[in-house]
Amino acid sequence: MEIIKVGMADLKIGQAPARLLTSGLGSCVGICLWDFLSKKGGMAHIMLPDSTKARVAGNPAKFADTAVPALIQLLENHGACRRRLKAKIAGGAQMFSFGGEHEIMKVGQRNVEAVKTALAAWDIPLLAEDTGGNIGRTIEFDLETGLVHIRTMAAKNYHI
Amino acid sequence: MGEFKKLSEAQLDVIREVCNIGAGNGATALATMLGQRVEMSVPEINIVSYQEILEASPICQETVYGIYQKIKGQAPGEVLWLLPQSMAQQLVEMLLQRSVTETGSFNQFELSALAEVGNIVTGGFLAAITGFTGIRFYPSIPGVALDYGCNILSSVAAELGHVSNEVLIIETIFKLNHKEMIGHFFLLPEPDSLRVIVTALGV
Repeated sequence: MEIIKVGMADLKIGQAPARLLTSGLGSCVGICLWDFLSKKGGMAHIMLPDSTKARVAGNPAKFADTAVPALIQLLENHGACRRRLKAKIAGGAQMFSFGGEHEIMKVGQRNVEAVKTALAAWDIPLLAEDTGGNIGRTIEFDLETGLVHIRTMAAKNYHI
Repeated sequence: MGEFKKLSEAQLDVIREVCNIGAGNGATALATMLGQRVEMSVPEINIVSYQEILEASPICQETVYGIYQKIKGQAPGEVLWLLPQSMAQQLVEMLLQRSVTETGSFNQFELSALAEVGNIVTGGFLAAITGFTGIRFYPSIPGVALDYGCNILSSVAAELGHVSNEVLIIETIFKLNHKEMIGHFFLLPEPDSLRVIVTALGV
């Protein structure tokens, strides 16, 4: 079985029985899109909410607002049906505690909100999410079943 | 792309030397606090894309404590310490002069003590650079995380995503008494910050 690795600020697609894998999801969010009929799917590992705040041009996979349409487009180009696409997301933790309420590193929460806004804007239903908290995640997206398997430091293995 | 790749070898040498002096001062501050000898490696500079960052350092695959400070001012950037759990426990015990609860379940006070270790080294590091460049740095209060190194480092690197498509990582390893690893100290400057520093030095 093929495992396709997705890096930070990266997006990839595949076809069952392949699995898409990304690690290092701290404040970042992993977006999984799946077409259950063709069993094609894609994953993006976004770092930041909003591409309009960027001072450098480039990589659509870096931002929530640009990664969602880029992933949809790529899947459509490879024969997935846009109307059948459903989403699952994971990540968006706040990794650091500052001994009180501080605005630094709230980016995890903002990433999750931005991904949801983008999915809604492109009419992609969000089926499940495992977001927030203060712990990083590794996710493996099974394109055969549409399940997203999640691992954390606490060695919990679960799926959404 | 290529914001960091425009730096010349000579400029990178200057940055390395600046960090070497900074880290030396940080090591001295830490040694004073602990009453023990602290050694450090020569800082290593790596320029990596975001896609490569999860494999950027061997410590990325371990469960470690992370102490993070955001630097503001003329030359902004991110500072991160990654410490093995056993060393974090040892440092907190040295600092508080008593044994502490098992690592992984530090209370708020012990976490603050650990954060202070980061603060001292970062302060020493930046003070040295201010000393010969005149550039002032404003570090945030430190935050503490416990997780895989890659999850922590990626979250810190993501903070630079608005200004860069790649990350320049300056990594220095600190050791206690010549042998036992204290931790890895990472400095992730914004691209413009390096220009500010080399300009201040007239390079």
